[in-house]
Amino acid sequence: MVNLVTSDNESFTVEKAVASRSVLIKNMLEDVGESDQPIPLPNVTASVLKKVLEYCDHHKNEPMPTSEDLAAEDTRKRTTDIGEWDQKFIQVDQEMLFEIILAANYLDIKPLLDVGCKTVANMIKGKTPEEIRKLFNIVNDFTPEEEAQIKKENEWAEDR
Amino acid sequence: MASAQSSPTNEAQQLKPTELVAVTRSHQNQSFPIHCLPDEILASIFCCVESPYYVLHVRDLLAFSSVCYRWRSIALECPRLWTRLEPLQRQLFELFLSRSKQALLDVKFEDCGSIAETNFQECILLALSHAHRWQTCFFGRLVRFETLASLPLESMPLLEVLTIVHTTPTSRGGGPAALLFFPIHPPRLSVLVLQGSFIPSTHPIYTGLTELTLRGIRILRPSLIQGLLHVFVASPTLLHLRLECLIFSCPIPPESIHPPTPLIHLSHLQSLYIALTPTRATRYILSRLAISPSARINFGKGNSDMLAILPSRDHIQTYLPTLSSAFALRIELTRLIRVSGCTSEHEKLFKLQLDMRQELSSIFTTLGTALPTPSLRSVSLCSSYIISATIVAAVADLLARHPDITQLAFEGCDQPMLQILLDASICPRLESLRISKCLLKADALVEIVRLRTRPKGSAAHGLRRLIAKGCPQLDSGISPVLQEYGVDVEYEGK
Repeated sequence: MVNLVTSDNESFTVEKAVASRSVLIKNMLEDVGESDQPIPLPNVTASVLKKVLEYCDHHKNEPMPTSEDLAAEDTRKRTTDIGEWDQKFIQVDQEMLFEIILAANYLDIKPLLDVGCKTVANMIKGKTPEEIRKLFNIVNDFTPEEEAQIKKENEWAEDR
Repeated sequence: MASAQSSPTNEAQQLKPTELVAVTRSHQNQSFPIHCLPDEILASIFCCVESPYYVLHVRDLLAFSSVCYRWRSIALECPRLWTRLEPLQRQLFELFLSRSKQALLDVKFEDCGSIAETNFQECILLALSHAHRWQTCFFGRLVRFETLASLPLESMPLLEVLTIVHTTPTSRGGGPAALLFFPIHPPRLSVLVLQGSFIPSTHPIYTGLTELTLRGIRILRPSLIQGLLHVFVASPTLLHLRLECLIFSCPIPPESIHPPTPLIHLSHLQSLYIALTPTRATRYILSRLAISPSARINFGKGNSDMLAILPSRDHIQTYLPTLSSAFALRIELTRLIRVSGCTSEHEKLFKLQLDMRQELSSIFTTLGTALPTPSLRSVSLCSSYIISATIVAAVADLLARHPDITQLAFEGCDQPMLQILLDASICPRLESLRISKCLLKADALVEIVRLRTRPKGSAAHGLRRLIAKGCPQLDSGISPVLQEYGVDVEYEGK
């Protein structure tokens, strides 16, 4: 078992196979060897780690992506398809979604990072800039000159 | 904006009012949750959005780069985002080309319906000046190879996937002109799709391929048949081979050649797909190939006679082992006839799709004879038709020729078919029986189970498991009756 300590000082004791879905933790365990020392995760809060561990537990028996897989993914066309379980898992509010993405990035859990990115991608796909702004509370901060330049670029789309 | 955003307060005081508003708004944006995502993650998110329709793809990218200053900077600094090029509009084409910087390009020249032909050709010329970074390339019907062939061309050292589509090969000169266009073999080319035009088989473009699709190719002379085979010889590393709609306007040689020509060994092949090709041609091509035992074979539409497409039994057993190593066969009699074979681990080995022109009973006769099935242990029959007595007899014959079968499944069959099992000499080692949506009376099923179970403690194998699902003549009361014979019963609804 592995003991993980979050930024808000909460402890989680999990199976090694679950914790090792994180490449960061896996490498730490390999470096430290057999030890009862808790692993501090200063960038992850308890509520987020709980969700991340739920994901890791569900996928613990799946093969880890190899470096070849990751390299191939860069050149291959990406898709926004997400598995059924992952879709349900990632149905959280925006704040939690972004926190999960950040945690997956920090803990180096590539498949979870992909699920998070694809979820946001699906949210913005097919939307106009104004709809995207509304969705994420983004304010249009372009100067009038930038606005004019963008309008010119987008003229093409107006008659379609 | 970039300098304004990072300026100290005293410098900000010198900004124009409109710029000051923009800076204030940018600071406001930093307080929203999405702002916590680092640039590289936002770029990854943008890259995930990939619409199959180019117009929608372009709309999405332009939308992302019009949301706010930060999103625009990220999008414009991510060349990978702008690498998909199609001639939708010349200015747009140029914009994408410049934003893609030095990233590898995926170019597709297809009729978008709205672009004038002159613009279309101009876009091709623009893209050609970046041919050194093409990764994939699709040339559709509108591409005039005759024109392109006269241009000084850059080499395509990074091209991996090439598709050439010509629905009317003679009008656009897809064959020889395309050959001129590719005077040098792109060294990294691994995937080639040719539709409607055939680059001569001696061309080096066929070397080192891992995927080859030939579609809608007209074979006019017997020498072209040999040329077709030569293409396979040139690419012994092929993993996937698709032959679709090959049209033969010349006589197809008989299967046996005297003296026999050497076989073409595709020892790395993982999948072979043949569809809409004359049965005699399919048979001829198969008889020339020796493929890997793990290669999956898929015969798509356009076959009417199973016997006619199969080469000799000896050839299948020795050189097409995929076709002769099925542990399980599934036979579907619906609008089409589908015969598929798989391993004991449910990995698919082959799939044959036949239209209904063939005498149905002859398919069952072919299984185990012309198509060897020495490892067959499981048969599944699915029908949406009322099956005639002739077919029942053919199925009985098939089962009788395979006494080692241990698993049977019937779906959509009626009583005469299932009554085959009242003959205990058929499938004497049957251990598992599954019936779903079948018309079978309870007493007939009880009789089948009685005949096929062995007394407890008996060393001989007998029926151990029965699954009945959605059979309207059976109710839940059947389970305890059958369990008395020591059978594990799974019953689910009528």
